[in-house]
Amino acid sequence: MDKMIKSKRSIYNNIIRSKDLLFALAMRDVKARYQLTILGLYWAIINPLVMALIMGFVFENVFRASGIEGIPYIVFLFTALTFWNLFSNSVGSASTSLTGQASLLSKQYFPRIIIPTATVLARLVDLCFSMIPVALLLYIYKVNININAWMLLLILIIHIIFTLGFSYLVSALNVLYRDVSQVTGLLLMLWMYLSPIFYSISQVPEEFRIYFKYNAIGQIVDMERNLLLTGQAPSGSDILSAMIISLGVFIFGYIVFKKIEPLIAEVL
Amino acid sequence: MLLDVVNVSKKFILHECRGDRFSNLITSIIQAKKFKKDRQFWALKDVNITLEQGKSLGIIGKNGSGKSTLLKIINGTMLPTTGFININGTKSALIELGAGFNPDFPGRDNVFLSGMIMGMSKKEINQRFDEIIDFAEIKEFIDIPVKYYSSGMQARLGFSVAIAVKPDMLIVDEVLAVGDANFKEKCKNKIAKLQKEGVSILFVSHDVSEVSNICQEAVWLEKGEIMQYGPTDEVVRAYKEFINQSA
Repeated sequence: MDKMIKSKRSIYNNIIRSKDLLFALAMRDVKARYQLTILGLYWAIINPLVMALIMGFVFENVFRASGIEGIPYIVFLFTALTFWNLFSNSVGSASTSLTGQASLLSKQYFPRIIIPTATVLARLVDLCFSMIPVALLLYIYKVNININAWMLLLILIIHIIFTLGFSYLVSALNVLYRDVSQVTGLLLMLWMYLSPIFYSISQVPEEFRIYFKYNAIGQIVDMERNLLLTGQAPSGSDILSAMIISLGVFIFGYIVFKKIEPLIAEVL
Repeated sequence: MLLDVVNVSKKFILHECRGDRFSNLITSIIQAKKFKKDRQFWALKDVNITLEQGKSLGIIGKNGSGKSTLLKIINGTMLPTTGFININGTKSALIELGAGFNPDFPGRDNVFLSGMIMGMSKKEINQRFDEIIDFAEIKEFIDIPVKYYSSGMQARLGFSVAIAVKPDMLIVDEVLAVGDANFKEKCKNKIAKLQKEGVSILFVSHDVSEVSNICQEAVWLEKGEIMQYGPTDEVVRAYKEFINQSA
């Protein structure tokens, strides 16, 4: 009896500790990026803003790109890019998260999955900061936020589930083969151009549109942008298919991670 | 029993290099050759150890005898190939003191992060914070980035955090070899004090006299197998004879 109480308490304690460690690692990640810089956290705002200004100029004035009717192209682009970056930067930094922290891993056993999870959490904090320039642009270009924008939270949860699954996958695989992080960088760039970020799905020729249905993260970013800028609610079937694919990716990534986890100490 | 190591064996698969497996696969497909078999290596063979709460165990043996592998398995960072271990209590490890500190962050942040990695909650670290920096003697430097610490200061802080866990079993891997004489003395005294309070020490060292000082029991490992296991004096005597003979 005594022992049962003890083990119940220790499970509870373990969860508390894991939670504390998760947040501490995420905070350290966020802080470490800006620790030795003068402008500090402002870089989280300046970087994407400069990127968007340049891309916005080139695509709008040189390539004559257009987004949604009535929305300035730079707002259209920057919004999607901000949401895309949550996925892209998470996966990018998760790919080297385990291999970069070998000395932490040798100390003590703790659930290794905390490490890529913390990276994603840190990028989520980045997203919060980069919502500031998004809000700024919306204000400058007088884009009104529709009442439907609350649904963004639901889509964002699906977005995070997809991102976590993919991050688990690449972080674990990179332990076995360091080529994975190189491939990931290339893949993410291709993926970005094949996702509705510089254009909207409605601009894609009819015959290709079917392929965009399978690109769950592209769909998710498109839904998020539409919700924020026009308030156009996604269809139930779109949400459902994004949710099913995301859960599938999450479960697959988790299983692969758990399979590779025991090898980490031997390989690193 | 505090610690049970039951029939533990550990097999390593040696790749010539990381890409080997993959390129082997490719070339074997192209040239229709047989898949080159990986070399195997047993680092531990059928190791059995039991340790009572309050008793201390030394692990001795030459380089490559499997000491570190056994330690990693007991510490939980590595899984055995066969067999299992059972620990009834908390453990903490003095391994590579100060490694894992982030040099750009102040001591305070590093205490919290490494404390959490060692298994404490934020609340527990807050409660024990003064104790930690008192023992490490770095009170006035706690808000300075760790990169400006001397290696001795880093080791002291690492030691301090590890014992703040208040473990039932403390795993010590050669760490007493680092740091200045004062610090070594302080660590030894602290370890002796912890032993009196009922903490078990699992001690790995080349230094046989240290093991005799600290441990009641000892295990002598040779090529992954237990050569002798029993009271420290006997095991140490046999080990010394063996070394002298082979020298």
